[in-house]
Amino acid sequence: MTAQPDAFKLPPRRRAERLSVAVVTELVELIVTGQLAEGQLLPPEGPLSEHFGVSRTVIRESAKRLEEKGLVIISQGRGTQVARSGSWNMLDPIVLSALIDNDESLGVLDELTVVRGNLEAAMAGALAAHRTAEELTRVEHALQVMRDMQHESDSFRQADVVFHLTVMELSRNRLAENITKRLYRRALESTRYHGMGYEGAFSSTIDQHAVVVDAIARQDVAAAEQAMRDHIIGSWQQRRFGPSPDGEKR
Amino acid sequence: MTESENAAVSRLFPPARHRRPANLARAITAELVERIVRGVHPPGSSLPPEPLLVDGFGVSRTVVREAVKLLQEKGLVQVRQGAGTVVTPPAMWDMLDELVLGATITEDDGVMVLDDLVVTRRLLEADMANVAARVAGAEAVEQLRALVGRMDDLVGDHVAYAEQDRAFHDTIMRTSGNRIARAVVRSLESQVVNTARYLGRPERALCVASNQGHRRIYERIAAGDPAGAAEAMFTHITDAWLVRRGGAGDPARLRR
Repeated sequence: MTAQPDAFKLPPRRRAERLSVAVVTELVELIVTGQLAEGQLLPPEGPLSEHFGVSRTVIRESAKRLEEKGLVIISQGRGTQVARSGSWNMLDPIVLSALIDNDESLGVLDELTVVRGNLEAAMAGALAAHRTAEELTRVEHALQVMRDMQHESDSFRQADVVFHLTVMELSRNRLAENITKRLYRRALESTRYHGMGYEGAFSSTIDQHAVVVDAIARQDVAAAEQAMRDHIIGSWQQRRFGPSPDGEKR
Repeated sequence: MTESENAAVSRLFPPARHRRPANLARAITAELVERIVRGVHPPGSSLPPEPLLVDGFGVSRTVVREAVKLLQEKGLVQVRQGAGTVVTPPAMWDMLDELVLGATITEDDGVMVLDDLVVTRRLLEADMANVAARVAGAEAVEQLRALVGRMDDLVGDHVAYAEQDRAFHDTIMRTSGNRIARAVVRSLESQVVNTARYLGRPERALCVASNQGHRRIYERIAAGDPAGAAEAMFTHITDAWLVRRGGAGDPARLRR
């Protein structure tokens, strides 16, 4: 068999990369959950490479990736030390996923929802301020699709996400849109974020979206902001704790 | 030497073989990020094929592949079977990435993006000031008081002032306990902290005005007034940016 020259060069490297991803993911998890505590030294390269069954090169490579994420400090002689949590890059996809996976003890979804609520509120407000007739039609259409899908849960959830994405896209704040989408997408991957379905959840979502659309139609900036924030934070509280007559806001 | 021997050697001597290509790949990535953000390679178009990039940059295929992988991680391109490497729409780009945000600010004069950045940042910080006013203990309040006092003494030294300024904002963010919100603000800040346009003119009067804002925020937090603290933070960030920003474009979006 004559292999292409490339076929020789790539496999070992690819394998090392995959291994390194697995090692990084596991170490991130250990650090984020505090099993490797802040200030603690990581075990030396030798034992680590034995533990994971990978070469020292892979361990070294992984430590560098952890350093880029702000999780460890590598110093000559002293070894690799877990950094203070204040310097961790919480927005790194692997770090954020590990935080969300361990949300039960870490409560990061509460924080994420507050961020999302604030940013989407601002975007709804911006849209209310500058919306054209055509933009209003697009938002109204997104809401109508949700009404049409009310009895098919999967399509409804999809339409719900599309509604939020539409408001963000039309807000013209590219930065807030981008950050929110990133956080939102990560949260949607977690079953915990979807929470327990509660009685009447779909119709209450539609009602709350309708309040947002109404404020956008009236070009009432403050009302659009308020309605979007209340909707996002309120519905997370309900998914999390079940409906309560006067759920706390935070 | 056979290929597998090569691989063994590269494993034995990782630093030398490793570091150089990694730095090269990073440099080429930066160049490609800039071209994509500038629209030289618009969304939906394909990047030049690998051999052309290899010739163009005068580097090995390994380096080009590494660079393309980094572009992929930043959400700038998708590698599609058969279609090559296709540039993605801006909504998919990782705007919090250093290179992407840096290139975006350089492009289109930057002021639009910086407005967006201020709008985004002040909301999150106003909300964190609100929470801080509710939860701050004596120690945090004392830290804020000390920082405001120190900044009063530093209004003539904008470099030292800026450092205490960041510490002041960070103390409030840490007090709020919202790690995600703090992370967003910090990564936005870290990308712009060195751009002259964001920092503005180093004038004593600007520092004095800025610290009046800080003092109001501190007082509202110390008084346990959440709404007042949020309002003071919102106003401080908006005002401080409006005097730095200059006249370019329409600042309408900054008002509310």
